[in-house]
Amino acid sequence: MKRSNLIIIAVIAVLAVWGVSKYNGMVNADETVSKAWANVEAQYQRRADLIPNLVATVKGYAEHEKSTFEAVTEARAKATQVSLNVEDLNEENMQKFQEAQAQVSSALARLLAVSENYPELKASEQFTELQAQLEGTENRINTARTEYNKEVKDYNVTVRSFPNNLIAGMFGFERRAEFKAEAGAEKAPKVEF
Amino acid sequence: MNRIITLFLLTFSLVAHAKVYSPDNLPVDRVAITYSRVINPDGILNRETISAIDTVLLRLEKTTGVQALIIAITNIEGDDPFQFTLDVFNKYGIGGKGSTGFVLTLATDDRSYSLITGEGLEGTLPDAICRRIQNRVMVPRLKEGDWNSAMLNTVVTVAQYVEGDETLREAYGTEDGEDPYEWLWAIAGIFGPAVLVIALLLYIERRKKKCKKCGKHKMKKVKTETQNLNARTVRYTETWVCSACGNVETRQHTHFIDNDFNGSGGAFGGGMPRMGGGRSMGSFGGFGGGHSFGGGSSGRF
Repeated sequence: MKRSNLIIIAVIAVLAVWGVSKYNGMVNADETVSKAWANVEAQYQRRADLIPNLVATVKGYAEHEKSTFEAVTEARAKATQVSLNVEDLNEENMQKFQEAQAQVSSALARLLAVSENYPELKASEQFTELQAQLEGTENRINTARTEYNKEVKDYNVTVRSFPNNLIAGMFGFERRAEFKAEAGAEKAPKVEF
Repeated sequence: MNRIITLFLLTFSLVAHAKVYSPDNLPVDRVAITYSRVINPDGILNRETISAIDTVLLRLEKTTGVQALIIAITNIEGDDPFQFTLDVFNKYGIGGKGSTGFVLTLATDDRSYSLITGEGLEGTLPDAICRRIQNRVMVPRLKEGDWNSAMLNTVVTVAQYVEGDETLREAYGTEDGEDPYEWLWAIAGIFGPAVLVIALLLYIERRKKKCKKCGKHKMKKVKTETQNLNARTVRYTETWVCSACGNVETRQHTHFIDNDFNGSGGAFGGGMPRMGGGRSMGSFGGFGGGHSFGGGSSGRF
Protein backbone atom coordinates (compact mmCIF):
# COMPACT_ATOMS: atom_id res chain seq x y z
CA MET A 1 0.00 0.00 0.00
CA LYS A 2 1.20 3.49 -0.75
CA ARG A 3 2.43 5.43 2.21
CA SER A 4 0.04 8.30 1.63
CA ASN A 5 -2.91 5.89 1.63
CA LEU A 6 -1.85 4.54 4.99
CA ILE A 7 -1.67 8.01 6.45
CA ILE A 8 -5.11 8.86 5.16
CA ILE A 9 -6.55 5.69 6.69
CA ALA A 10 -4.87 6.45 10.02
CA VAL A 11 -6.26 9.97 10.08
CA ILE A 12 -9.75 8.73 9.30
CA ALA A 13 -9.45 6.15 12.09
CA VAL A 14 -8.42 8.77 14.62
CA LEU A 15 -11.28 11.03 13.59
CA ALA A 16 -13.72 8.17 13.86
CA VAL A 17 -12.59 7.32 17.38
CA TRP A 18 -12.81 10.95 18.43
CA GLY A 19 -16.22 11.25 16.82
CA VAL A 20 -17.55 8.21 18.61
CA SER A 21 -16.39 9.38 22.01
CA LYS A 22 -17.88 12.83 21.48
CA TYR A 23 -21.14 11.33 20.30
CA ASN A 24 -21.34 9.13 23.37
CA GLY A 25 -20.63 12.11 25.56
CA MET A 26 -23.52 13.94 23.98
CA VAL A 27 -25.82 11.00 24.44
CA ASN A 28 -24.90 10.99 28.09
CA ALA A 29 -25.57 14.67 28.52
CA ASP A 30 -28.83 14.23 26.67
CA GLU A 31 -29.97 11.50 29.02
CA THR A 32 -29.12 13.60 32.03
CA VAL A 33 -31.24 16.41 30.67
CA SER A 34 -34.10 13.98 30.04
CA LYS A 35 -33.95 12.78 33.57
CA ALA A 36 -33.89 16.30 34.96
CA TRP A 37 -36.82 17.25 32.78
CA ALA A 38 -38.81 14.22 33.90
CA ASN A 39 -38.23 15.34 37.45
CA VAL A 40 -39.49 18.84 36.72
CA GLU A 41 -42.63 17.46 35.15
CA ALA A 42 -43.13 15.11 38.07
CA GLN A 43 -43.02 17.94 40.58
CA TYR A 44 -45.44 20.09 38.56
CA GLN A 45 -47.71 17.07 38.31
CA ARG A 46 -47.49 16.66 42.06
CA ARG A 47 -48.79 20.19 42.47
CA ALA A 48 -51.55 19.51 39.98
CA ASP A 49 -52.54 16.45 42.00
CA LEU A 50 -52.83 18.47 45.19
CA ILE A 51 -55.25 20.95 43.68
CA PRO A 52 -58.51 18.93 43.64
CA ASN A 53 -58.03 18.14 47.32
CA LEU A 54 -57.33 21.77 48.10
CA VAL A 55 -60.38 22.96 46.20
CA ALA A 56 -62.59 20.43 47.96
CA THR A 57 -61.30 21.48 51.38
CA VAL A 58 -61.79 25.19 50.76
CA LYS A 59 -65.23 24.57 49.28
CA GLY A 60 -66.24 22.98 52.55
CA TYR A 61 -65.89 26.34 54.27
CA ALA A 62 -66.21 28.92 51.50
CA GLU A 63 -68.79 27.63 49.05
CA HIS A 64 -69.57 30.96 47.50
CA GLU A 65 -66.15 31.70 46.10
CA LYS A 66 -67.15 30.05 42.83
CA SER A 67 -65.05 32.12 40.47
CA THR A 68 -61.88 31.35 42.39
CA PHE A 69 -62.52 27.62 42.30
CA GLU A 70 -63.29 27.67 38.63
CA ALA A 71 -60.16 29.64 37.84
CA VAL A 72 -57.96 27.15 39.64
CA THR A 73 -59.59 24.08 38.17
CA GLU A 74 -59.46 25.53 34.68
CA ALA A 75 -55.82 26.56 34.95
CA ARG A 76 -54.96 23.11 36.20
CA ALA A 77 -56.74 21.39 33.32
CA LYS A 78 -54.97 23.56 30.77
CA ALA A 79 -51.57 23.00 32.33
CA THR A 80 -52.03 19.24 32.35
CA GLN A 81 -52.60 19.35 28.61
CA VAL A 82 -49.35 21.15 27.92
CA SER A 83 -47.07 18.23 28.47
CA LEU A 84 -43.71 18.32 26.78
CA ASN A 85 -41.54 15.56 25.50
CA VAL A 86 -37.91 16.16 26.12
CA GLU A 87 -37.23 16.20 22.39
CA ASP A 88 -39.56 19.17 21.95
CA LEU A 89 -37.77 21.37 24.42
CA ASN A 90 -37.22 24.38 22.21
CA GLU A 91 -37.78 28.00 23.23
CA GLU A 92 -41.32 28.19 21.93
CA ASN A 93 -42.66 25.08 23.63
CA MET A 94 -40.89 25.92 26.85
CA GLN A 95 -42.51 29.31 26.90
CA LYS A 96 -45.97 27.78 26.45
CA PHE A 97 -45.27 25.32 29.23
CA GLN A 98 -44.08 28.01 31.60
CA GLU A 99 -47.06 30.21 30.84
CA ALA A 100 -49.51 27.42 31.53
CA GLN A 101 -47.87 26.69 34.87
CA ALA A 102 -47.73 30.38 35.73
CA GLN A 103 -51.49 30.51 35.33
CA VAL A 104 -51.80 27.71 37.83
CA SER A 105 -49.51 29.56 40.21
CA SER A 106 -51.50 32.77 40.11
CA ALA A 107 -54.86 31.00 40.38
CA LEU A 108 -53.52 29.12 43.40
CA ALA A 109 -52.25 32.31 44.97
CA ARG A 110 -55.69 33.82 44.60
CA LEU A 111 -57.35 30.80 46.15
CA LEU A 112 -55.05 30.95 49.13
CA ALA A 113 -55.58 34.68 49.49
CA VAL A 114 -59.33 34.09 49.57
CA SER A 115 -58.85 31.44 52.23
CA GLU A 116 -57.38 34.06 54.52
CA ASN A 117 -60.91 35.40 55.03
CA TYR A 118 -62.20 32.20 56.54
CA PRO A 119 -60.73 31.66 60.01
CA GLU A 120 -62.39 28.28 60.49
CA LEU A 121 -60.81 27.06 57.29
CA LYS A 122 -57.40 28.33 58.32
CA ALA A 123 -57.68 26.54 61.62
CA SER A 124 -58.63 23.16 60.17
CA GLU A 125 -55.83 20.65 60.30
CA GLN A 126 -56.70 19.35 56.88
CA PHE A 127 -56.09 22.77 55.40
CA THR A 128 -52.83 23.41 57.24
CA GLU A 129 -51.47 20.08 56.10
CA LEU A 130 -52.47 20.82 52.52
CA GLN A 131 -50.65 24.10 52.86
CA ALA A 132 -47.58 22.25 54.04
CA GLN A 133 -47.83 19.93 51.05
CA LEU A 134 -48.21 22.88 48.69
CA GLU A 135 -45.27 24.71 50.15
CA GLY A 136 -43.16 21.59 49.95
CA THR A 137 -44.20 21.08 46.35
CA GLU A 138 -43.33 24.63 45.38
CA ASN A 139 -39.91 24.10 46.96
CA ARG A 140 -39.48 20.92 45.00
CA ILE A 141 -40.52 22.60 41.78
CA ASN A 142 -37.91 25.29 42.31
CA THR A 143 -35.23 22.78 43.13
CA ALA A 144 -36.12 20.67 40.10
CA ARG A 145 -36.02 23.71 37.82
CA THR A 146 -32.64 24.77 39.15
CA GLU A 147 -31.21 21.32 38.60
CA TYR A 148 -32.73 21.12 35.15
CA ASN A 149 -31.28 24.47 34.16
CA LYS A 150 -27.88 23.36 35.30
CA GLU A 151 -28.00 20.17 33.24
CA VAL A 152 -29.34 21.96 30.20
CA LYS A 153 -26.55 24.50 30.39
CA ASP A 154 -23.94 21.75 30.41
CA TYR A 155 -25.69 20.02 27.54
CA ASN A 156 -25.97 23.20 25.49
CA VAL A 157 -22.31 24.03 25.99
CA THR A 158 -21.33 20.51 24.92
CA VAL A 159 -23.49 20.57 21.84
CA ARG A 160 -22.64 24.07 20.70
CA SER A 161 -18.88 24.24 21.17
CA PHE A 162 -16.58 23.70 18.29
CA PRO A 163 -15.72 21.05 17.11
CA ASN A 164 -18.45 19.14 18.94
CA ASN A 165 -21.13 20.99 17.04
CA LEU A 166 -20.09 19.17 13.88
CA ILE A 167 -21.00 15.82 15.42
CA ALA A 168 -24.08 17.34 17.01
CA GLY A 169 -25.25 18.65 13.68
CA MET A 170 -24.76 15.27 12.02
CA PHE A 171 -26.81 13.41 14.60
CA GLY A 172 -29.48 15.95 15.38
CA PHE A 173 -28.54 17.14 18.86
CA GLU A 174 -30.22 20.46 19.20
CA ARG A 175 -30.01 23.24 21.68
CA ARG A 176 -32.51 22.91 24.53
CA ALA A 177 -34.39 25.62 26.33
CA GLU A 178 -33.89 26.69 29.92
CA PHE A 179 -36.46 27.83 32.41
CA LYS A 180 -36.58 31.58 32.49
CA ALA A 181 -37.41 33.51 35.62
CA GLU A 182 -40.90 34.85 35.04
CA ALA A 183 -41.30 38.60 34.90
CA GLY A 184 -42.59 39.74 38.27
CA ALA A 185 -42.24 36.17 39.43
CA GLU A 186 -43.16 35.47 42.98
CA LYS A 187 -41.92 32.47 44.84
CA ALA A 188 -44.29 30.09 46.57
CA PRO A 189 -47.67 31.61 47.30
CA LYS A 190 -47.29 32.86 50.82
CA VAL A 191 -48.85 30.52 53.30
CA GLU A 192 -48.35 32.23 56.60
CA PHE A 193 -51.02 32.93 59.13
CA MET B 1 -17.94 58.55 76.45
CA ASN B 2 -16.34 55.50 78.00
CA ARG B 3 -19.69 53.82 78.29
CA ILE B 4 -20.41 54.39 74.62
CA ILE B 5 -17.08 52.93 73.62
CA THR B 6 -17.62 49.91 75.86
CA LEU B 7 -21.09 49.35 74.46
CA PHE B 8 -19.78 49.65 70.93
CA LEU B 9 -16.96 47.21 71.58
CA LEU B 10 -19.30 44.82 73.33
CA THR B 11 -21.78 44.81 70.45
CA PHE B 12 -18.98 44.47 67.95
CA SER B 13 -17.48 41.51 69.78
CA LEU B 14 -20.86 39.82 70.02
CA VAL B 15 -21.50 40.28 66.34
CA ALA B 16 -18.00 39.21 65.46
CA HIS B 17 -18.44 36.09 67.54
CA ALA B 18 -21.69 34.95 65.99
CA LYS B 19 -20.47 32.76 63.18
CA VAL B 20 -22.45 32.56 59.97
CA TYR B 21 -22.59 29.15 58.32
CA SER B 22 -22.95 28.14 54.72
CA PRO B 23 -22.83 24.60 53.32
CA ASP B 24 -19.17 25.19 52.48
CA ASN B 25 -17.87 26.23 55.87
CA LEU B 26 -20.02 23.95 58.00
CA PRO B 27 -17.56 21.77 59.93
CA VAL B 28 -18.38 18.24 58.86
CA ASP B 29 -15.42 15.99 59.48
CA ARG B 30 -15.48 12.69 57.59
CA VAL B 31 -14.01 10.82 60.51
CA ALA B 32 -16.00 12.48 63.28
CA ILE B 33 -19.17 11.75 61.35
CA THR B 34 -18.75 8.04 61.98
CA TYR B 35 -19.23 8.44 65.69
CA SER B 36 -21.60 11.37 65.89
CA ARG B 37 -24.21 12.69 63.51
CA VAL B 38 -24.62 15.96 65.39
CA ILE B 39 -22.91 19.09 64.10
CA ASN B 40 -22.73 21.44 67.08
CA PRO B 41 -19.93 23.96 66.48
CA ASP B 42 -21.46 26.70 68.62
CA GLY B 43 -22.07 24.52 71.62
CA ILE B 44 -25.81 24.97 71.47
CA LEU B 45 -26.61 21.39 72.45
CA ASN B 46 -25.19 19.73 75.53
CA ARG B 47 -23.33 16.45 75.62
CA GLU B 48 -26.17 14.39 77.05
CA THR B 49 -28.51 15.47 74.27
CA ILE B 50 -25.92 14.76 71.59
CA SER B 51 -25.28 11.34 73.04
CA ALA B 52 -28.98 10.54 73.23
CA ILE B 53 -29.58 11.71 69.66
CA ASP B 54 -26.69 9.61 68.39
CA THR B 55 -28.03 6.54 70.14
CA VAL B 56 -31.41 6.96 68.46
CA LEU B 57 -29.85 7.62 65.06
CA LEU B 58 -27.46 4.69 65.29
CA ARG B 59 -30.26 2.29 66.00
CA LEU B 60 -32.29 3.85 63.22
CA GLU B 61 -29.49 3.41 60.73
CA LYS B 62 -28.89 -0.20 61.70
CA THR B 63 -32.52 -1.24 61.56
CA THR B 64 -33.81 0.78 58.61
CA GLY B 65 -30.74 2.07 56.79
CA VAL B 66 -31.93 5.64 57.23
CA GLN B 67 -29.10 8.14 57.72
CA ALA B 68 -29.39 11.57 59.25
CA LEU B 69 -27.49 14.73 60.05
CA ILE B 70 -28.48 17.05 62.88
CA ILE B 71 -27.21 20.62 62.77
CA ALA B 72 -27.47 23.22 65.52
CA ILE B 73 -25.90 26.58 64.69
CA THR B 74 -26.47 30.24 65.43
CA ASN B 75 -26.78 31.80 61.98
CA ILE B 76 -27.25 30.63 58.43
CA GLU B 77 -25.69 32.67 55.67
CA GLY B 78 -28.44 34.27 53.65
CA ASP B 79 -31.00 33.30 56.28
CA ASP B 80 -32.55 30.63 54.04
CA PRO B 81 -32.83 27.49 56.16
CA PHE B 82 -34.45 25.49 53.36
CA GLN B 83 -31.70 26.13 50.82
CA PHE B 84 -28.95 25.67 53.39
CA THR B 85 -30.26 22.32 54.60
CA LEU B 86 -30.96 21.10 51.07
CA ASP B 87 -27.45 22.04 49.93
CA VAL B 88 -25.86 20.33 52.91
CA PHE B 89 -27.98 17.26 52.23
CA ASN B 90 -26.89 16.98 48.62
CA LYS B 91 -23.31 18.00 49.31
CA TYR B 92 -22.70 15.10 51.68
CA GLY B 93 -25.13 12.68 50.11
CA ILE B 94 -27.08 11.69 53.21
CA GLY B 95 -28.81 8.37 52.91
CA GLY B 96 -27.83 5.15 51.18
CA LYS B 97 -28.82 3.63 47.85
CA GLY B 98 -32.45 4.54 48.25
CA SER B 99 -31.70 8.11 49.32
CA THR B 100 -33.37 7.44 52.63
CA GLY B 101 -31.99 10.22 54.74
CA PHE B 102 -32.95 13.43 56.47
CA VAL B 103 -31.24 16.56 57.70
CA LEU B 104 -32.56 18.67 60.55
CA THR B 105 -31.23 22.18 61.04
CA LEU B 106 -31.80 24.66 63.83
CA ALA B 107 -30.52 28.24 63.64
CA THR B 108 -30.96 29.79 67.09
CA ASP B 109 -30.11 33.39 66.29
CA ASP B 110 -32.04 33.40 63.03
CA ARG B 111 -34.87 31.63 64.86
CA SER B 112 -35.42 29.26 61.97
CA TYR B 113 -35.51 25.53 61.42
CA SER B 114 -35.68 23.13 58.53
CA LEU B 115 -36.20 19.42 57.99
CA ILE B 116 -35.26 18.09 54.58
CA THR B 117 -36.08 14.53 53.52
CA GLY B 118 -34.36 12.47 50.87
CA GLU B 119 -36.05 11.02 47.80
CA GLY B 120 -36.52 7.68 49.46
CA LEU B 121 -38.16 9.07 52.58
CA GLU B 122 -40.79 11.14 50.85
CA GLY B 123 -43.37 8.41 51.29
CA THR B 124 -42.66 7.81 54.95
CA LEU B 125 -42.21 11.45 55.89
CA PRO B 126 -44.39 13.54 53.59
CA ASP B 127 -44.17 17.29 53.94
CA ALA B 128 -47.37 17.43 55.94
CA ILE B 129 -46.01 15.03 58.54
CA CYS B 130 -42.77 17.00 58.77
CA ARG B 131 -44.83 20.13 59.37
CA ARG B 132 -46.94 18.31 61.93
CA ILE B 133 -43.91 17.09 63.86
CA GLN B 134 -42.42 20.55 63.83
CA ASN B 135 -45.61 22.24 64.99
CA ARG B 136 -46.42 19.75 67.70
CA VAL B 137 -43.02 18.77 69.02
CA MET B 138 -40.36 21.22 67.96
CA VAL B 139 -41.83 24.72 67.92
CA PRO B 140 -43.34 24.78 71.44
CA ARG B 141 -39.97 23.86 72.90
CA LEU B 142 -38.09 26.26 70.65
CA LYS B 143 -40.31 29.08 71.81
CA GLU B 144 -39.18 28.36 75.35
CA GLY B 145 -35.57 28.37 74.27
CA ASP B 146 -35.13 24.72 75.18
CA TRP B 147 -32.90 23.73 72.26
CA ASN B 148 -31.87 20.39 73.70
CA SER B 149 -35.35 19.15 74.35
CA ALA B 150 -36.62 20.43 71.00
CA MET B 151 -33.95 18.67 68.97
CA LEU B 152 -34.00 15.43 70.91
CA ASN B 153 -37.76 15.05 70.86
CA THR B 154 -37.97 15.93 67.20
CA VAL B 155 -35.37 13.32 66.32
CA VAL B 156 -37.16 10.73 68.45
CA THR B 157 -40.52 11.48 66.81
CA VAL B 158 -39.08 11.35 63.32
CA ALA B 159 -37.39 8.06 64.18
CA GLN B 160 -40.70 6.67 65.38
CA TYR B 161 -42.35 7.48 62.06
CA VAL B 162 -39.48 5.95 60.16
CA GLU B 163 -39.35 2.83 62.29
CA GLY B 164 -43.08 2.42 61.93
CA ASP B 165 -42.62 1.98 58.20
CA GLU B 166 -42.16 -1.71 57.55
CA THR B 167 -41.11 -1.30 53.93
CA LEU B 168 -37.94 0.54 54.93
CA ARG B 169 -36.98 -2.21 57.30
CA GLU B 170 -37.39 -4.86 54.65
CA ALA B 171 -35.68 -2.91 51.95
CA TYR B 172 -32.59 -1.60 53.62
CA GLY B 173 -32.35 -2.69 57.21
CA THR B 174 -30.93 -5.77 58.83
CA GLU B 175 -32.85 -7.73 61.46
CA ASP B 176 -32.33 -6.17 64.88
CA GLY B 177 -29.15 -4.56 63.77
CA GLU B 178 -27.26 -7.82 63.67
CA ASP B 179 -25.07 -9.11 60.93
CA PRO B 180 -27.28 -11.32 58.75
CA TYR B 181 -24.33 -13.50 57.90
CA GLU B 182 -23.41 -14.02 61.52
CA TRP B 183 -23.99 -17.77 61.37
CA LEU B 184 -21.69 -17.99 58.38
CA TRP B 185 -18.92 -16.19 60.23
CA ALA B 186 -19.34 -18.51 63.20
CA ILE B 187 -18.95 -21.61 61.05
CA ALA B 188 -16.07 -20.14 59.12
CA GLY B 189 -14.39 -19.09 62.32
CA ILE B 190 -14.43 -22.60 63.69
CA PHE B 191 -13.87 -24.64 60.59
CA GLY B 192 -11.68 -22.25 58.72
CA PRO B 193 -8.56 -22.57 60.81
CA ALA B 194 -9.21 -26.27 61.31
CA VAL B 195 -9.39 -26.91 57.59
CA LEU B 196 -6.23 -24.91 57.02
CA VAL B 197 -4.28 -26.80 59.65
CA ILE B 198 -5.40 -30.15 58.32
CA ALA B 199 -4.42 -29.16 54.81
CA LEU B 200 -1.02 -28.06 56.04
CA LEU B 201 -0.41 -31.30 57.88
CA LEU B 202 -1.43 -33.37 54.87
CA TYR B 203 0.98 -31.41 52.72
CA ILE B 204 3.84 -31.96 55.12
CA GLU B 205 3.19 -35.68 55.22
CA ARG B 206 3.21 -35.86 51.44
CA ARG B 207 6.48 -34.01 51.24
CA LYS B 208 8.09 -36.57 53.48
CA LYS B 209 7.20 -39.32 51.05
CA LYS B 210 8.99 -37.77 48.11
CA CYS B 211 11.92 -39.80 46.83
CA LYS B 212 15.00 -37.71 46.12
CA LYS B 213 16.17 -40.00 43.37
CA CYS B 214 13.12 -40.67 41.24
CA GLY B 215 10.82 -37.86 42.36
CA LYS B 216 7.83 -40.08 43.06
CA HIS B 217 5.99 -39.86 46.40
CA LYS B 218 6.62 -43.52 47.27
CA MET B 219 8.95 -43.38 50.26
CA LYS B 220 8.05 -45.49 53.26
CA LYS B 221 9.55 -45.62 56.72
CA VAL B 222 10.95 -49.12 57.38
CA LYS B 223 13.03 -48.76 60.53
CA THR B 224 13.28 -46.38 63.49
CA GLU B 225 16.19 -46.26 65.91
CA THR B 226 16.02 -44.29 69.14
CA GLN B 227 19.05 -42.77 70.76
CA ASN B 228 19.06 -40.94 74.08
CA LEU B 229 21.75 -38.30 73.81
CA ASN B 230 21.20 -36.97 77.31
CA ALA B 231 18.44 -36.76 79.92
CA ARG B 232 16.29 -34.38 77.92
CA THR B 233 17.24 -35.01 74.33
CA VAL B 234 16.40 -37.93 72.10
CA ARG B 235 17.44 -38.62 68.53
CA TYR B 236 15.41 -40.65 66.08
CA THR B 237 17.18 -42.24 63.12
CA GLU B 238 14.73 -43.36 60.46
CA THR B 239 15.37 -45.49 57.41
CA TRP B 240 13.13 -44.76 54.43
CA VAL B 241 12.87 -46.87 51.25
CA CYS B 242 11.29 -45.88 48.00
CA SER B 243 8.97 -48.60 46.64
CA ALA B 244 9.31 -47.32 43.09
CA CYS B 245 13.08 -47.15 42.57
CA GLY B 246 14.51 -48.82 45.67
CA ASN B 247 16.33 -45.71 46.88
CA VAL B 248 17.30 -45.89 50.55
CA GLU B 249 17.47 -42.79 52.74
CA THR B 250 18.37 -42.11 56.32
CA ARG B 251 16.72 -39.25 58.18
CA GLN B 252 17.49 -37.98 61.61
CA HIS B 253 15.72 -35.61 63.92
CA THR B 254 16.33 -34.55 67.45
CA HIS B 255 13.75 -33.55 70.08
CA PHE B 256 13.51 -32.21 73.58
CA ILE B 257 11.54 -34.69 75.62
CA ASP B 258 9.20 -32.52 77.67
CA ASN B 259 7.55 -30.89 74.64
CA ASP B 260 6.60 -33.57 72.18
CA PHE B 261 4.19 -31.46 70.26
CA ASN B 262 6.88 -29.20 68.85
CA GLY B 263 5.30 -26.07 70.23
CA SER B 264 2.15 -26.29 68.20
CA GLY B 265 -0.11 -25.57 71.16
CA GLY B 266 -1.46 -22.34 69.85
CA ALA B 267 -2.72 -23.58 66.52
CA PHE B 268 -6.40 -23.17 67.24
CA GLY B 269 -6.23 -20.33 69.62
CA GLY B 270 -7.14 -16.69 69.16
CA GLY B 271 -8.45 -14.77 66.23
CA MET B 272 -12.13 -15.68 66.29
CA PRO B 273 -14.05 -13.19 64.18
CA ARG B 274 -16.22 -10.69 66.01
CA MET B 275 -19.73 -12.04 66.25
CA GLY B 276 -21.56 -8.74 65.96
CA GLY B 277 -24.90 -8.73 67.67
CA GLY B 278 -27.04 -6.18 69.35
CA ARG B 279 -24.99 -5.02 72.30
CA SER B 280 -21.99 -3.28 70.88
CA MET B 281 -23.49 -1.60 67.84
CA GLY B 282 -20.32 -0.13 66.47
CA SER B 283 -20.28 3.09 64.55
CA PHE B 284 -22.18 4.93 61.84
CA GLY B 285 -21.54 4.08 58.22
CA GLY B 286 -20.26 6.57 55.68
CA PHE B 287 -22.86 8.58 53.81
CA GLY B 288 -24.17 6.68 50.81
CA GLY B 289 -24.61 9.42 48.25
CA GLY B 290 -28.28 10.13 48.75
CA HIS B 291 -30.14 12.95 47.04
CA SER B 292 -33.05 15.14 48.00
CA PHE B 293 -35.69 16.78 45.85
CA GLY B 294 -36.26 19.36 48.52
CA GLY B 295 -39.03 17.64 50.42
CA GLY B 296 -39.73 18.36 54.06
CA SER B 297 -40.74 21.45 55.93
CA SER B 298 -39.14 24.63 57.22
CA GLY B 299 -40.24 27.52 59.38
CA ARG B 300 -39.49 30.17 61.91
CA PHE B 301 -40.30 30.59 65.54
